[in-house]
Amino acid sequence: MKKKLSTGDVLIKVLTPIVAVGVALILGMILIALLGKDVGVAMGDFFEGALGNPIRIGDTLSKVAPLTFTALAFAIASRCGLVNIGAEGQFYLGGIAAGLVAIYAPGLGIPGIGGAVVLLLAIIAGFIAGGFWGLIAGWLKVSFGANEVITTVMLNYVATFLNKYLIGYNGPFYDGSGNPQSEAFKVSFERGFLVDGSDMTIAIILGLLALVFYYIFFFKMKKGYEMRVVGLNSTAAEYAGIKVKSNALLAMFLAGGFGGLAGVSELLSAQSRILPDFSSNYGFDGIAVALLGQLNPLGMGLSAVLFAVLKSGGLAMGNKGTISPYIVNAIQAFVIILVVASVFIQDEYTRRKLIRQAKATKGE
Amino acid sequence: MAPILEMKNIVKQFPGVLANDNVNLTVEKGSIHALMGENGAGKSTLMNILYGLYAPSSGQILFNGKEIHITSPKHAIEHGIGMVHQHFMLIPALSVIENVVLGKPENKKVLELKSDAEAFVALGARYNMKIDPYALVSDLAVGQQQRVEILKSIYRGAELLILDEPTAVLTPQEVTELFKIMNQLKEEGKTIIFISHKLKEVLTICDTITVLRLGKSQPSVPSAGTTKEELAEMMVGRKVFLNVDKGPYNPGENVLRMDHVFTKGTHGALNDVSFEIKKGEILGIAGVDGNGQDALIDAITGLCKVSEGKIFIKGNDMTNSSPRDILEQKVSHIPADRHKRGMVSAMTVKENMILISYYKKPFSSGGFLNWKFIEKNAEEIVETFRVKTPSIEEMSGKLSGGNQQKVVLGRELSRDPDFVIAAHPVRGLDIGATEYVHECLVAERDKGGAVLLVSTELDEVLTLADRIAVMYEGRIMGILDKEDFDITRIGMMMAGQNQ
Amino acid sequence: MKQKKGLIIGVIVVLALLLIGLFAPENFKNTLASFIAQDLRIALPLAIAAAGLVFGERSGVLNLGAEGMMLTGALFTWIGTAMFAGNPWLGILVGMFSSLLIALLFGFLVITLRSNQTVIGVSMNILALGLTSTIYRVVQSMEMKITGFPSLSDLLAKIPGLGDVLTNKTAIGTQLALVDIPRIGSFLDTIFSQNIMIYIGIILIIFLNFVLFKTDLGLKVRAVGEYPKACDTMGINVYKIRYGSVLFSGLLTGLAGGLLVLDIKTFVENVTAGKGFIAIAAVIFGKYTPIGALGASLVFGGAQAVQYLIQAIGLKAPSDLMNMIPYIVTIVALAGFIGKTHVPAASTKPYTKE
Repeated sequence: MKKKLSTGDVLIKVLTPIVAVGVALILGMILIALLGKDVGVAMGDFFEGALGNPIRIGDTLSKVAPLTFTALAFAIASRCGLVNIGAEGQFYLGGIAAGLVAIYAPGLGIPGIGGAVVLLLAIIAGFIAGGFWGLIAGWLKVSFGANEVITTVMLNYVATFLNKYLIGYNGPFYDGSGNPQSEAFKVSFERGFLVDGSDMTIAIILGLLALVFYYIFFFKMKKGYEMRVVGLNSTAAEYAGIKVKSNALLAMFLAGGFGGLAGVSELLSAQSRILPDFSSNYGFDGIAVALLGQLNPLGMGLSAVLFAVLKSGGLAMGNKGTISPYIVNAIQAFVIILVVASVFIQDEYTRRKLIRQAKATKGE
Repeated sequence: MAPILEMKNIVKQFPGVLANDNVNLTVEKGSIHALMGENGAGKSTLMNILYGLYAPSSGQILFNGKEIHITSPKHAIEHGIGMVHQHFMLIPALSVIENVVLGKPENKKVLELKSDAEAFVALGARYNMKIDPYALVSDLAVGQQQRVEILKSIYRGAELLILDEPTAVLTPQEVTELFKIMNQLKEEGKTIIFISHKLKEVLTICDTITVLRLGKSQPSVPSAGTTKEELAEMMVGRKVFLNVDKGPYNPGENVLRMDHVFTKGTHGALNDVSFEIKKGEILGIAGVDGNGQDALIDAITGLCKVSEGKIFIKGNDMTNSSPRDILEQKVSHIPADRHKRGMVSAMTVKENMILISYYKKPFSSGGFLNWKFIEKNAEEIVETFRVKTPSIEEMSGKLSGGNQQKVVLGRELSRDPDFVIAAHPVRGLDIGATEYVHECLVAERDKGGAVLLVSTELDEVLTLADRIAVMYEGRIMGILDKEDFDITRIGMMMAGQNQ
Repeated sequence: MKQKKGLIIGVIVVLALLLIGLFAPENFKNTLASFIAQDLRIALPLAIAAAGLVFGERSGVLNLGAEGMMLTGALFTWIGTAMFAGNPWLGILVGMFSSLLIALLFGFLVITLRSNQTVIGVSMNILALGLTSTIYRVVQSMEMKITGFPSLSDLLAKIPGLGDVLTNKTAIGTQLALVDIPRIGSFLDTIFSQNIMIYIGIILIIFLNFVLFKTDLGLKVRAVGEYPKACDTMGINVYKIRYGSVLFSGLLTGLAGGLLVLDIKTFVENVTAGKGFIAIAAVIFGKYTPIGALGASLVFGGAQAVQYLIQAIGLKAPSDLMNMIPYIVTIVALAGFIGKTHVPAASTKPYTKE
């Protein structure tokens, strides 16, 4: 994409997210102070927990993969003009499907099913399950016009209860241990990838590949072009002979699929069995990651790293009892609000520039 | 008589456009005063300033001899200024009377719709207008909606009434009705500013005429003793040639055949439409807006379902085929609303150039877009169709209206079509762009293409078309050959009367 | 026409209840009465929130931040009630004020800054979840004594002179005097001896319906959501009406959150669990009218009350599956009834005054 942009435009594009994050962090600190906590101590816990030593850095980076995937779940739908708030539910479905493959496939005794093949199957199962969950909302939207924001949120709750049921005391995948949980995975991603002793796995590479796919799909492939046309102007798409409904369905399937992969990467990297509430809000984090990255693949990659740090640091503060890890949600919301609101500032900037130019030409 | 309104040295600067440049306008009390000018000449801007919708950059407004500062429409209404906008400011989902009392400062906290309705019906009777005050506005015909608008303004105490292009949506017969009402209002001492670009109407109804050109006002002239030619020259600033050079009329074989086509729907659905278009001819569709033109285009292009009848394109039965299959028949479509349909504003010029053909070789192959070819092709179209854009990477939404239309036109005509559907192709364009678009359409015809031209501007259809079909309520009232073109007859047909 | 239909439905429902009360077997009667009571209890916060959201939506603002506003209202009602020594009235005022602040932020972003309503709405929910959970963990050790609102019978009993006539004091507590009516008495008592807020809420909703359709203000709200530009030309301040509607919807969603907390008498993280979104669905299902939204809320409330019904019947169903029902019913209602209602034409479209 070679595009002639003035330095002012570039500066605004790059500065916006940086300023947004900076302001959001300051607001977070003010909040901590208002609640009567020592900001210095909190910050210390935060950075110690997120980046204190190589292993912690590795643990932090292990969160990049699920965050990237949930960001893609939001971004892909968004490119097609849909608002997918359902990454949380898609995360559960993907995680459950992959988890079940990792638990039961190795025991089937089918020759040739080794660790790598099981993992591949788990990934595929996770993608399809998540995609199916996204497709439900897409279908409701396309066939009945049901607002996808509400249906995806409802499906999130259905998914969490479904998971609780499946591994609960009456559920088919309960391990009988007395706690609601499944059996342990027989196969999972190998930890210690790049950083020995950390939770990092090869999933981070999968996340990276997904970003590359996103870029190629939307900017190099005709199907992606088609989807963008639908997202930006569905009436023009119809006029051009593009099928709006099937694109919306495909977008929701792909979006859901990546939401599912988020579940796969989290479960088979950082956890050892399916537990209730195993997502810890990744689905909603993804919205902030995507918006901060302005739906741009590079931007989303960078903001996934940033949010991984925020998430780890927040959890560390929570574990130490300094402050609830939920403070990260508040900071995330500040980031989204600031980024979205900055569009207004950019518009005003362009408008004023135009008026200035007009005045200048008139003066000549 | 003393002037009711004086607007002095009004300047309005928009980002990038100087819409009003020292405009002066004086309107006598109890007169009908025409404000004329081409699209974009600044008429609407001036009136929106008077109505308090825009703040002028500088200038002075005197009303009944006193200087006033109108900062909002509320203010304007308080002063007794009413405006009937070209796009009606009625809320379709509400009833007539709800629309009439909406925002009225005298309203009680709990509405008294019944007494308002009675008073409103009585007012309507004075002007021979019968309107059901409890009907939903969405159920009214366009002409009735306009009457509600006019009555609403009077009901709320307008002394000066601005009518913005009121005849654009009316049949010739309805125009006569409107003029009657306008004259009655004038007799009652009310003042009317009549915005139009139609020479004949202005000369018929108005006392004084002020012409705006490129944001500047020309000295006012009395309508008595002024000729159409003089007015036209004032508007355009040069002699206008209403004729376009066309080659001889040599119709070839059928390109489109509509065979007793019906569509479903309430407003303007097709009702037994049959006609043909041949190679090398322009068929003009005349008619008041909303009489089935949209359904006609949508039925041909596959955007709406045909419930009965057949549509043949180049001999192939394309009834209810997908839009893509129809476009594949070398059909080009220049849609009425380019922002909504014709282009994607948030995409670049080059991305818009492939909107129809992106999936075909050489624009793409094996699922991937061929950006090199796409860029070369876009550069060529920009060059050929003289699109003014900083580069093909510019967002098309940032181009001017004329250049956006050229993007659409360039894309559609560069596909080497056999059949061109052009809907209101010059709507909102300035004279230069209009002429260019017309030349392109005639060139298509002269090359042997078939052109379907839909327009509500009768002059445009009369100038360009080889044959004219008139639509009324989804039906074709008749098709006239060139030698039978006659405004009165077409006018009657537009109003649903044959012979 | 419409009002007549509502009246007919009302009469049919009352007659059916009377018939059941008089002739149905005791077991069935008790189960039904407690189902209705549960339904009303669950539906109240939904209906109150939805009635507020109707005004926002009618003015053209889709308040997807309702969930967050409800959650904020819930936490601060809880804190406020504790602050004011268990007084639910003052507590709920604190809650409403807190959600008003969130609504103000939301309104500023979507009305003044014209930001995307969907994304900002969602971010309000994330913000509220973050703030409430963070604050909750700081204050959760506080001494909390929540009594909730008095019931109708408790209140009637306090009326000097008439109290003894209208109510009976029994071993279970205060009951309405109509419990003495043979056959049908206890059936009616279970249905009508409700938390006083249910009566206030229903009256409020009927009043809001009147405001929306019969008053000057209501007309302005409806008009602004359809065609703001036309309103502007009629001298109506579009921004003022939209701000007012959004703030009002914030106020009522906060009230709804407060009612939720005072009903279950405790706060937990994410206590609203999607109820804000269900309220939005109730607005659509209820055809954008306060009374319609009340009806829709009773349907959604019923979907949740079914759990108690099933328990009462003695059926064994996994609670996790039962918990899904309200969400699934909401989805089905949305899919089944959308498109059959007129959505305000300017919904979600920011208005720019030229």
